[in-house]
Amino acid sequence: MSVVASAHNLSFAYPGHETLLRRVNFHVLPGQILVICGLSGQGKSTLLRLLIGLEKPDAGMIRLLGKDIATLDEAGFNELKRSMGFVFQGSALISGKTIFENVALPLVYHNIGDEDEIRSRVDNALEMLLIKDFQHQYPASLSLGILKRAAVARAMIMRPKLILMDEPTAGLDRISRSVLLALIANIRRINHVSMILVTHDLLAARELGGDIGVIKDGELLEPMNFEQLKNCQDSFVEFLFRQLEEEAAMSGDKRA
Amino acid sequence: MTRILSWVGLHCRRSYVGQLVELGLQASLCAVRKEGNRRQSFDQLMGQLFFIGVEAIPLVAFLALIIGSATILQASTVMPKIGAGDYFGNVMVLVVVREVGPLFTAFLVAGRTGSALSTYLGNMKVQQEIDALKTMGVDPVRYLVYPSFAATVISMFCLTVIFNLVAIFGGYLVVKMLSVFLSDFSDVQLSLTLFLDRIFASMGVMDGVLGIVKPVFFGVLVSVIACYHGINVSNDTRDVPKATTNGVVNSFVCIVLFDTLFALPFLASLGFL
Repeated sequence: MSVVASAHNLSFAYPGHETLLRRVNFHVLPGQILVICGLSGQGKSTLLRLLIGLEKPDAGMIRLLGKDIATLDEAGFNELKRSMGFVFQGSALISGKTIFENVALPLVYHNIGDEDEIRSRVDNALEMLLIKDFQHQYPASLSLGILKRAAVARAMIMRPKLILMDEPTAGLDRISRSVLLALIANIRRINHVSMILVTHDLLAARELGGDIGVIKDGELLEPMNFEQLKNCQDSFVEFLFRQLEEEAAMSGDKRA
Repeated sequence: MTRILSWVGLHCRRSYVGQLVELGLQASLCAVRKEGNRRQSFDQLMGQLFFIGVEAIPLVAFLALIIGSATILQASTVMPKIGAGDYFGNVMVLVVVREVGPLFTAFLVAGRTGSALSTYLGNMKVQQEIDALKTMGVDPVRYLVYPSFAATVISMFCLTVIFNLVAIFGGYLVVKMLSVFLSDFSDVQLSLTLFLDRIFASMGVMDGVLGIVKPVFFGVLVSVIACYHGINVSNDTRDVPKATTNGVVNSFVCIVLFDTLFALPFLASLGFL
């Protein structure tokens, strides 16, 4: 089975700062979901920025959909990005455009389909994410939950093979979080799309059912499923689970 | 030698001016490149033309009327006394068409449009909207900079023409009013035809060429500087007002600098250079 995304010995440091990511290795198969967990400032979001080309690695190789991105020119990488979607932590919808225009933007820019086809594809995406009623509204007038769902709709509108998501559940209330996780699982099941999802929310990782890779001191521990991770002897992983239990005890959440 | 040249080239490209030139070239190339959706670019261009050009017309016209009138009022304190009362048209060409028109319009567009562009793009950068465009394979220069760049250049030219026409009209009104009310002006029998004749007679080829080149060049300067400062904001909200201020101030400095350079051909024609 061909690998959708992989990283080999990936290292990165922001200029003037200590090394943030050290020799990171992983691979994602078609339809697979890889959840990357860790504390704040450990380089989870930076890893996604490296994968989409917003930052350049200091060392190592990234292969996306069979291509080494270091060998691609700007046009080639832009072409590759048409097969990928990205969801930012803060949604990053274009503020001067309505939800419909935001979701349609990649289709319109890349001249994909006529007006009717664009409308139909955007309508389907908005219906799938239960936000069709908000299509004519601007991002400033909507709640974070709706904005995150719109960002997911925009990421999936090009029918990508790989979607990268940065903290999709951050800042959401419990109901919005559950709805969004269910929708993400649905998109993955229906479209058979691979996903790399960054979160500090271990429960979300369990609900989505993929492999979980924990970033510890800039290194990514071997990805494994939730139960394997729970039995992992690593002190940092144990610390994460203790944190989870404490949070659950405080909020009365019995799932942890 | 090659290493020295490549070092110099790299440093030039990384310099402020080098990056402005690069952004200007990238934006200009978007006009001929087939990438992206042309219909979408056209719609954005129309939107920007409305904001930068059409909405600025009342302000430009008002200021042009005042400045045209003030210019003639100042000239009227001297010219009739030395028997040059028929030459107000020449004054309008010298002062308004050659200098004040393009300069004042450029200042106005830099202050109004330049600040808006820097703020708009700076906020987009802080909100990660520009990064979001990149992740979709959308070229931010094509999608954001090019429509603003093209609209600013077109608007600057049109607004300068409007400024000149309204200022000339304002100046003519003042001369007519003065000739009615003031005794010094009783000898000045200035018809609109004569006034315009004087204007056209005192305009040379260089006025025509610079009348087009100057506003277009100022339009390029204002839009490129504003967009550069906007898209180069760091991910810190506090940088947005700084970028806006720097964009406007640098635009003003560049406009004055190049306006001086544009005066050189006139000096050369007089044999000073």
